[in-house]
Formats: sequence, structure tokens, C-alpha cells
Amino acid sequence: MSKSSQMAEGLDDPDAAAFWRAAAEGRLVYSQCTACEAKWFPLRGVCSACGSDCAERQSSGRGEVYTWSRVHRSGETGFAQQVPYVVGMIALDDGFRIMANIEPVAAVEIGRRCHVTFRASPATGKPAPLFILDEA
Amino acid sequence: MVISSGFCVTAVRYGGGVTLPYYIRPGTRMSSCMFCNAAGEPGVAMALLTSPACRAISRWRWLWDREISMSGSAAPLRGAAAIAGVGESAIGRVEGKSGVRLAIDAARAAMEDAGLALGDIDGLLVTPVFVKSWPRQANVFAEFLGVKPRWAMTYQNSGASACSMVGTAAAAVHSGLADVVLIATGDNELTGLGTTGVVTELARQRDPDVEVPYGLIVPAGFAMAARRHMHEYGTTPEQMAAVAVTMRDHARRTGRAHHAGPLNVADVLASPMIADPFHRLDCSLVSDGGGAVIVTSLERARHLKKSPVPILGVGEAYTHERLSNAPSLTTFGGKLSAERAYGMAGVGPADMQVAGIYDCFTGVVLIELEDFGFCKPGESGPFVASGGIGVNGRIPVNTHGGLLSYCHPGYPGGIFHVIEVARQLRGEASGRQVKCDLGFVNSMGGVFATNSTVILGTENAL
Repeated sequence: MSKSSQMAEGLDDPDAAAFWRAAAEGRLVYSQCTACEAKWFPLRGVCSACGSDCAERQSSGRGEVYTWSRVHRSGETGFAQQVPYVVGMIALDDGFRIMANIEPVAAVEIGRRCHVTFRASPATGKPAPLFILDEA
Repeated sequence: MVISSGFCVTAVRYGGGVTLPYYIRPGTRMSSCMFCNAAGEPGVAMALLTSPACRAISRWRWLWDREISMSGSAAPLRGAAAIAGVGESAIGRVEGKSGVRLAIDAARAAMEDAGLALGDIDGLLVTPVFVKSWPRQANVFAEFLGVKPRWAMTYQNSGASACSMVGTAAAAVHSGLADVVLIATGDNELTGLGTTGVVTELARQRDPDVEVPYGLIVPAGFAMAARRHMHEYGTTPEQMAAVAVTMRDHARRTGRAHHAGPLNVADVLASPMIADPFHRLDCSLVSDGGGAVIVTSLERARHLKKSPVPILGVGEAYTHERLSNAPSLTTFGGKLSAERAYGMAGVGPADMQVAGIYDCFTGVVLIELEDFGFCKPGESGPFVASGGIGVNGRIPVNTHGGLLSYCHPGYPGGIFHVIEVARQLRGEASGRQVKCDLGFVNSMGGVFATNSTVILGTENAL
């Protein structure tokens, strides 16, 4: 099997593949340690605190904006037609942080409540988390 | 342990009374354990820190105790090695030269500076060429330059490579792996790849599952930290712009910087927005250029052409890779990296008289000034706006003009900070000379992911 076909089947990184399979089903997932209950993102099989096994958990997808930047020049990242777009960090109520795009771009502020939805990433074409601000 | 205040992690003292959690400030609200990430309600962070599940604490305690015992005169590496030579290629836009060629030009300049010949070089550290890399870059470089080292390494620690290589070279000399280590870097990012090409390639090298899908260009990563700093401390775009203006003033004094035109705060704020809050002139350059440093034992350096620049302290720190897993967005591993280097050298930030600080973006310098102890948390904005980092300021920073105005060819960028501080300590910084016996240099890579610090001095500082 060629390297590219192995990557396409997710064999290169099964944890990442599991995340993207969930995303394709509209679910945001993270890892939680079955022993010490520490939460981790991105997914991992082994707890980075105590080394025990982790289990996949589904996030509520709700949280608040932790920080953000509005990008006006993106190089050739696939986002050239998207400018200006906001890439930021969301602190999920479940207790982990994630980087994602946030919309609407003109209204993003630190502390705004938001919730996850999914749309095709302009960079990869795969369904990826997009956070939408709750009504003010 | 029950903490009544509930919020202030730095108030936690345990065991021998050492205040451990170095990157959490008094008053910081936490919703998860800084060590094991166990989540909880904001305000119960103290209880989480002592959770039986958190095994990280004992590891930190061990590290801390070891560092205390290794500090000052007890540290075997302190003053064992010295910078004996420095050199640069042509910098800026340099047509017709590959990254390897630029590194060779710099290496030959450094050998000339030290009074050493090719046959004296028996150790080699090189950075990968970003524009055109080989699987065995050190071998490629050695073959082109014409050296046959007995110890060599291709060193990829991203932006932190420069200080990491100086520390590693000192350790190699001290341990006997090599007697004379040549650190050689060069890249032709501007003519070979161009600014848009560099921005694109760096964005493609971010985490493929966690960052790339969201269009994370590197400026936006650093912008997120600057945004948090603005949010927590009221830092302003004008204060960040003052960093760019200061770097330009310094660059103009060198007579050879990549960008040396006049610049004021209004110019920075009027330049196009790249990644809010960073304008184009808040962002560092994309340049061609190479820099080289030669490290040998202090004893051997004393018999070479120039005054030795003893390496008094080195330190590194690694806290995260993905930016979303950084413990904080306003203080980073550079704080611990600096503390480790200070500890080995037996000095503190108040002793530093000149500094080289990794200035890939203006707002980055503000955060670093606080992490390295040159300002209290939240005070770096007013500090730079009032001239604190100028040639005549409290701590002159990047007197060559830094990545923002002097030269930024990528991985080699940090070597120019090392070279400049060495020149300052040798009294060779004409037009920008600072009276100094102790200098600080920090390199940083990823988005605050790799951190490396070196404390340099003169013979007076030994």
C-alpha cells in the first residue's frame, strides 16, 4: 500500500482518523482518562498525565471564545477566498481548548458564548468544526 | 492541602517552601490543573493541584531541586566554553546564493574572525535549509565547506535553534566530543521562496489535524497571544508598534540592515492588517542570509584572535506543541528557559546589560520581556513605549535591529541575536555600543513551543 493511500485510510494516525470520522458525523470528540479522568484534545490513546488508557467522549460543543485573530492575508493555505476569516481558540465547557474558525467574523470577542457546527475546511475539504457565536 | 483564596497558584508553597508554578500569576483564574489538566470549577484549582491523580507534581519538584543544586558555581558548564568567532554573509536580498552558500560565507567570516582554519574545525552544527533541504544537511554543508568533523549534527529546533546550538556546542566542547565547534546557518528564503511562499510553507507545517484545517498562519498564532495580552493587561497596538520602531532605529545604526528606512508608530499602524492585531510592520522580515558562531573551550579561546565571550548559562524549555495546549497565552516556556540559564550563570534579569530577544512579531517581544524578568507581568507595553528597550534604555534589546528590521532568513534568524550580543560584549558594536559585561539571548520556535536561552559575558563576568 502506498503512503498516500495509507494516509487516506487513516492508518498513519488512527487517533486523528477517529476524530475526523466523528466530525463527518457532526460530532466533536475528545479523550478522557479512564483512571484519573483528565481530559485531552486532540484524541490520544494514553493519558498524558498518568499513562492509563483514554476513552473517547463526545463534547457538548458549547464554550466561549478564549482568543482569536482576524486574518486578512492567508498565503496559499486554501483560505485565500475566505479572507477576512477568524481563527481562534474556544474553551469548551467540557474542559478542553480547541482551535477552530469562528463566525460571524465581525462580532468575535473574547468571552462570547459559541457552539460548534461543521463545514468543509477550505484547507482540507473535510468536514471540520466551525464555531458560531450565540445570539448576544 | 486546602487553599482558602482559591485562585492564586503562585501562593502554593509546598515541601521546602519553593514557589513552583512559574507561569501562573497571582490572581489567575484556572479551571483546570496546570499539571495534569484535570478540569474543575474556576476557583478550585488549588485543590486540583494536590489531586492524587496528578503525578506531575513530584516530577516538577525533582527538576526544580536539581536546578537549584546545579546553579551558580556548582554548574559544571558555566564558563567552560566561549564564543571565539562570529561571522555573517551578505544579508537582506542576496541574489544568486543558495542557503548552503550563505552559510559557507558566514562560516568563513567566523573563522577569519577567530583566526582559525578549516583544519581546526572538528565539530559542526547546522540548521536545515528551509528552501532546499537535504536528509543529511550537516554532511552536505561539511562537504561543500571542506571540513571533516568528528562530531556533527543537523539541528532542527525551529526558531530556537540558535541558542540551542550554542548550548549544545558548549556541552560538546566540555564533554570532549569536539574541540572547536562551528555553528553554521544560512537560508535564501527571500529569493528562493518569497514572502508568500514562506508564509504558506510555515502554515502547511502546522499540526495537520488541529491547526491546518482552520487556516492557522503563523502570524495568527502569535496574534492570538497578543490578543490575550491586550485583553488581560490593556496592551495597545501603539505599544506593540513601538517595538518595531525601536528595532528600526537600531537597524539603521548598523549600516547594513535589510530594512533601514525611517519608521514611526503611525507608519506601523497604517500598514495593511495581516492577522489582527498585527499589521504588516508588526511582522518580521523574510530575508536571505547566513550567520555563524564558533565555540571552543574558554582556555583555547583565550589564545585566539578576539576576546573570548564566555558562555555562562544555558537553558531550554518545552511546554506544548499545539498552541491550543499552551498552559497560558500570556506567559510561556521562555520564562523557565530563562530561569534555568540565569540559574546556571548565577545571575538574574537585573544583572543583564544587553539582550537579544526573538522578535518574530512585535507583540511577542512584550510577552518575552515579562517572561525573562525585564518587566513585571502586564508592564511591558508602557516599558517599550517609554524607550525601555532602546540603546539607551534600561535593557537595550536587539541592538542590530532583530528579525523585524535586520535580517530574518528563517532558522538562522536567531543566530544574529547571538552574534550581536557577542559583538556588544567585545565592544565592537560601533554606533550602538552599550557598556556591558553580561548579555542575555533567547531564541524561540513554533508558537512559543521551543525555548532556548544563553547567558553570555566578558572575562569580567566569570
